[in-house]
Amino acid sequence: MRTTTLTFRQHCLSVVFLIAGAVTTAFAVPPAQVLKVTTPLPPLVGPCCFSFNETVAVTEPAKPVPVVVTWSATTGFTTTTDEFVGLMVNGGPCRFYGSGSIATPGVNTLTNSTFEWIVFPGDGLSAGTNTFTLCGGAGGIFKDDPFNVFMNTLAVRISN
Amino acid sequence: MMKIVSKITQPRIVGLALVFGIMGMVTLVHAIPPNQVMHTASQPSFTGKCCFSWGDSVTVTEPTQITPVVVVWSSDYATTVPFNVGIAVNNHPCQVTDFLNMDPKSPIGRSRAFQWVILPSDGLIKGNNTITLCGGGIHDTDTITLGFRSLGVTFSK
Repeated sequence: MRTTTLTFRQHCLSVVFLIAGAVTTAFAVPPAQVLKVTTPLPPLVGPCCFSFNETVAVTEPAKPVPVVVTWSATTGFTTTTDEFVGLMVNGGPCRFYGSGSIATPGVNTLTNSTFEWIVFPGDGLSAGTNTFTLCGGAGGIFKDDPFNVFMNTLAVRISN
Repeated sequence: MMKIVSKITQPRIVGLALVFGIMGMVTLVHAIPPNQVMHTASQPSFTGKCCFSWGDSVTVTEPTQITPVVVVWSSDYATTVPFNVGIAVNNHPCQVTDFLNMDPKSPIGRSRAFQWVILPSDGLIKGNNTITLCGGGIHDTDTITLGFRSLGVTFSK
């Protein structure tokens, strides 16, 4: 059997390339951190707040750091009431970590809305995997009117 | 036999530990510092002609070679008159657009998200930089009330 002996320099180069590869991988956006929905959600009916069944996840280090969650969506058309959107952190209650109101645009009108939410360690983040689930519901007088959400994206990021 | 295996794998384990250690440090180094982000549920009202400080601020530490930063403000608000919102860098004059970017349309709460790119020429300096929200209406009596909102600054990459 033939064996290959690496020189010290080759060993060092191997470690450098390994680290470079690992660091690059560390900076890639993990698939669990992003969600793109290209088909309309089933009409969301009911007063705020309930889960919209859209979830992203991020892995926190041993000492949790703040994360930024962004939701961008096209809503409306038959929506005739004001709506609220927020987040459930790790399956907890639906809360608002920034703005979250969508005023009714009127029938047959679409609205594009973008929200950026900041979640701090004190808001319930823990070391390891953390989930962020979209939630909300009607906030106006007609609480049983459907809330239509069309194309939308949900993303969480931890890095600067 | 166990000792031989141990002698062979030990350097590899140390190497892997080193790699994971560096990855962990890199994650922490690039984590968003708490001073760069804020969220609040307070509901302040502001009355007056543009432009004056709205109080909300975040800070960011620039390296020796100053790089652009991206500021995002996302807020609920209620107003019956048009308003303008912008940012002030290091207490310099409020930078606002030429048009009123917060429309009244409805007295019921609305929401808006704004993204501003701040270049070194906009007043960024090496070290700590303060980004403060500012704005105002057209008349001295114009009033706006803010709701749930967040403000964040990150380096452009």
